[in-house]
Amino acid sequence: MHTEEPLAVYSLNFDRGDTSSGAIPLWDPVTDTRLGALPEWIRGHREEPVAYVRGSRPSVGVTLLANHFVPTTFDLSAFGPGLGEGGTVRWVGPHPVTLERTAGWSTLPEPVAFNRPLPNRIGVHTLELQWFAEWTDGHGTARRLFLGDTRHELHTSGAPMEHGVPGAPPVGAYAPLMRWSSRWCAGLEGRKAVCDALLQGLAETRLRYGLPAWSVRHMLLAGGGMCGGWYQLFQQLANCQGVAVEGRTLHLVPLHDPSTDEVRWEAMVAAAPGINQVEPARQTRFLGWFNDCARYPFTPDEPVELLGRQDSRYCFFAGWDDGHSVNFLEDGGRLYLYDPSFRTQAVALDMPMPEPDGQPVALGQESPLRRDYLNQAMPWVMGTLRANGRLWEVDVARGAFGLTVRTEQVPELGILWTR
Amino acid sequence: MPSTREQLRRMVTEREAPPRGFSWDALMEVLAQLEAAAVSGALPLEAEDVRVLADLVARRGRVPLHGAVAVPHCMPPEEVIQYRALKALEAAERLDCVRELLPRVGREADSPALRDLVRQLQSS
Repeated sequence: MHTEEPLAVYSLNFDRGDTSSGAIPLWDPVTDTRLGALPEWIRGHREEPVAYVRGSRPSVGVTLLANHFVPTTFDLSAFGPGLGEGGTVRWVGPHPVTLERTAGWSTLPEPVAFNRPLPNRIGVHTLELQWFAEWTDGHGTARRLFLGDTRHELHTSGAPMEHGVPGAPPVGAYAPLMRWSSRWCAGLEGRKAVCDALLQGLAETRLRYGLPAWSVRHMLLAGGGMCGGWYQLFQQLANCQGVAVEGRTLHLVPLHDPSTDEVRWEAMVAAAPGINQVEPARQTRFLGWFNDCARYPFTPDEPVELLGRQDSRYCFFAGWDDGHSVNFLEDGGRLYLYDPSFRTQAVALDMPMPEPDGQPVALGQESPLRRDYLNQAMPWVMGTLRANGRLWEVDVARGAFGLTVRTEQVPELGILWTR
Repeated sequence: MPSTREQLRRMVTEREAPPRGFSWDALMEVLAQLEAAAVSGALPLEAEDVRVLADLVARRGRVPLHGAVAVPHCMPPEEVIQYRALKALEAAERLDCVRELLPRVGREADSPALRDLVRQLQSS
């Protein structure tokens, strides 16, 4: 605050915690509090982002600070760039103001509505406003007093979001997600285009795969997470643009053969390091000797060439305890799989949306899920198998990884889906 | 040396956990056995086992562990424990023991799968 200024805009509050404000509530993941709980802009102290659905007309709560004698009644206006239309436009006012006091803070009794809507497109905008008080003095002369500049990081989203999505704040979104989402999707139209842009933008978050965090807020603080966190992050990014994607977790169903003690299969195995990793994460990888079979199937009595190698891989164990979480989008009559942990491109699948009913399903070699996604994302499955005259057991605590065979060579794979 | 199942029972009745904690694999094995027994219906779960399962839910799946703890990909280890305990109680038709805990479990869960299970159990 410059002491010589007789009157200045002190703070501006966009998200005032009620639906009439029209703002999308943004949250600080560190404190888990709404940014709008305090004015998003406080002169010299605070400058937080605000977000609206595109084409919205914001309103703002205004607090003025008077230092010495000023007129008690005047018209308040704010001018700024046209945001795509060019030129300078009057965003606010003239709004009649009567100050309750001519020294100290005055918060206007009602929020002041903007004169015009925000751009009707997804994007990030910098709105710099110049505020003025205008009045006519006792001599009939028009007077104008500069009240200061304000600067706002303004996000416009594609469509109204669903509030209270599990794992997200009670209303609105975590601010970093809105920032990423509106930047990556700027100018885009269509649900698929939005999701594609989000998937391709994820690497910019610098969040890494394979860290032990399973919720979006925890991921933002820890710097990454497991697929159980990544698919929620992707859901919330899409929700910022009003796009609903489904989350599903793929579990492997093990089949134990009591006559041979073999188990097909005990884990899906991935060797890709995951997003923003150069090698599988130390915290969650399995490092050891993997016995990759040169071919499959084979009978216990047949000799099988084993391509043993020291390697670090991720193991997604069979059963309810573990699985791989991904997202699905239905658009234009097609189903698309988005795997934010391992893939940067959507996978179009010729299959219906999987039901999260926990019912076992057998996938043949030609099933679209296996052919177009699973064989590449999880290139091996690990089992307790008999080969070359012995039983190769899986006991990861002892570093025994059984035998690993190419997923594409397995005739039938039992899986189930949960949410 | 007492089995993991016996140690779990003692943790509930005497509020005494094993000094070194539980092995993750052994804990998962016991939960799988209890669920399998309840699903098969061959033998109803003993009252002590039901108390163990309810206690695991009540303590938010937080039990002392030792050694290598597997890091599940889809949900936190504590929620895996709660998930499996709830599945076993459901199979044993003993959800009455945890009915009043379900809203809290659903509210606190990070994992959509656990929230979904709680939602199903609450509506059943």
